Amino acid sequence: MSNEGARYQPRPAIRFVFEYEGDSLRLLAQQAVEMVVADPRPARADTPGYYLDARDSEGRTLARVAAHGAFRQSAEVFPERHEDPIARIDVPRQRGAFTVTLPAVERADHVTVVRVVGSADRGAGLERLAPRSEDIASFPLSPR
Amino acid sequence: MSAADGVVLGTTQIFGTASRSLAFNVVLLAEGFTQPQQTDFNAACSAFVTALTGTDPFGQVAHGLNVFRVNVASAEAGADDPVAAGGTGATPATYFDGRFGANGLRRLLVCDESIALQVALAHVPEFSVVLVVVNSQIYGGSGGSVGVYSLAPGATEIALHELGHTAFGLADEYAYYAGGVEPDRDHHPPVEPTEPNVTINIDRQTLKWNWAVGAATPLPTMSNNDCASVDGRPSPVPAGTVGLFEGAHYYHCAAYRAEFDCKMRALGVAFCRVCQHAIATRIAAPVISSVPIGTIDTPPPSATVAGEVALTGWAVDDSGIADVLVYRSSVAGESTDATGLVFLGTAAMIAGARPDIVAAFPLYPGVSSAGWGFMILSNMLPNGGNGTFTLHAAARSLAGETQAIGTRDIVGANAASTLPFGTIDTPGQGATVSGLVTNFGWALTPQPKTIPVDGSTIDVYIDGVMVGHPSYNHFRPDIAALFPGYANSNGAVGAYQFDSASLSNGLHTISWVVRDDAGAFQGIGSRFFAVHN
Repeated sequence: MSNEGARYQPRPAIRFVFEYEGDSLRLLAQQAVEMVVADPRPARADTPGYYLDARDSEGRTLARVAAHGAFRQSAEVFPERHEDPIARIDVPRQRGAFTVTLPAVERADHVTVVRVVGSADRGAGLERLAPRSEDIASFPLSPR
Repeated sequence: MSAADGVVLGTTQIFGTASRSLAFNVVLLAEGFTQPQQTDFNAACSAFVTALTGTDPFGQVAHGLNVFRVNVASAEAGADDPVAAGGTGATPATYFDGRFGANGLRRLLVCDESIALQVALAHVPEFSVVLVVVNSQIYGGSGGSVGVYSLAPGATEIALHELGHTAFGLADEYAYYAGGVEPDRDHHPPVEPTEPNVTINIDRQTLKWNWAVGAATPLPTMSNNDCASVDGRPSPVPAGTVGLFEGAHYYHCAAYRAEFDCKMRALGVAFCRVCQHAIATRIAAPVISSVPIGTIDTPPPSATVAGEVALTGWAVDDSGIADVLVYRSSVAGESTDATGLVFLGTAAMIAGARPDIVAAFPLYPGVSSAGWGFMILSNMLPNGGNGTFTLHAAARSLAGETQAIGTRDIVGANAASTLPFGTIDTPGQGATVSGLVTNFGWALTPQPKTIPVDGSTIDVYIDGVMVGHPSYNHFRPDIAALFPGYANSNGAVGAYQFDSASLSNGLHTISWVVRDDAGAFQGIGSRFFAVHN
């Protein structure tokens, strides 16, 4: 219970806003905040998806949080009559923005957006392969 | 059509008093409202707060919720509405570049997420979620990093659904992707989703929402017999039953949702209990309420009931909960106590029954006993338990505060009931037992039917497993007097003995399922008890 409580305590953090179009990624803003940063979807680091790493000057990962909403490939379409079904459509041209809040980490030098490609992405027969990380882009941390 | 087409006027907190660093902070941004139309935006924000706090569980955890509006004056009103998507062709100059018709679908309403996130960051850097309110009566909305919805009736439902994704990490629960014939959506991949409200796991012990599943609820609760399509059949169990319903997370089969219906499956319905738990956890966990908070969970609102009814819920307080008092509204001519209600009794507080509340409110003292339960034999309500009754629950804190935590209408239909009824008397709700335990209860069934006197059609379930039949046909004068004229009135009592040492120490469940000679059956007396040997 104490661990659970600690998870919900506010802590110094940095909020990032990224913008993407296709494969191109830009950091629009980074700002220090103090807030609860508990992720409602605490994924294992090998779960396929996008993450933001805090890394030291030698490239070692010090912290990793999921980057929900990054490079979205679909959108939901909502019915005007609520008894009708919601549906999803693929979004062919990826353009959008997302935000990630990363707990402030001592010795962090820069952040890197990472894509983890997991077994589920690799098709039948290859499920036992280890997940693979790909760095998308890195950005220096602003002095605090 | 960009941030050059307007100006940010300012930020106003319109709901909540919690510290921003602790609270769940909702930021509403005005899109396509001109300067003179800011009052319209203000009214839309107020309407959103009403809708939000009227949606369970947001009202129950309102102490952890802040809502801010950021007034932004656009140069022109409305949003782009391309002709190609069936729109009017309007192209107003607006701050967030709101536009209908994304991907050729008119009701897919989007905005410039980059501008929206930067404005929110500048004005409420601790924001939890950003919603852009678009000044248009055309129905539309979308989700993503920023939720977008219009002023059209019902469009706030889009915002609430999208909150589920963006802020609380909930998955879509519908069993298809785009709809129509989708052969690639027959079976969910064998990978457990990370979201809290969908699963591929059907094991009762390890199911991630097993805390919410009743011992008598079958798992899976509803299976899809044709994985080539979405299961269109109605639910086989009452609304509000938590179990495993096949068809979820964009697949017809091999993925399950917790309830038949949920706002993450369709608009216009409530969030299921599992989603409510996830939402309450995120909002309430960091912030302590100074007055008791809680709710009534069962029975579902306006449930039609007969026989025994389990009123259950939870309550927490910053000083701890002393007890939960249960009342009902009076009927004509009936005397009441100082509350203006008829006192029914004190609920049992049940240690260990609600791990979901422990997770949602980890900072509250005594939270491990937050779950409460109170059994009502509806046959004993006025008019033989026929008609509508309003039940009330109030929590008393150890600091002496009393706070109403919920009301629940039930519709008693005992006259029309053809099902057996009765209750378990021992062990009591939440009771602690040791050694050899005699489980007493009683059961009757409407005339002209009868319950076989050898007890062979009364099944005793412990932890969801049938363990035997009670010895039946024992006389109890109070039952015979209260319910004369039934075939079993003079032999309604049953007794079942079990050795609690065969169970592990800790919390268990017990219930009876009673079947009469016509094959009608009903579960009665379901409750928690604790073993301590």
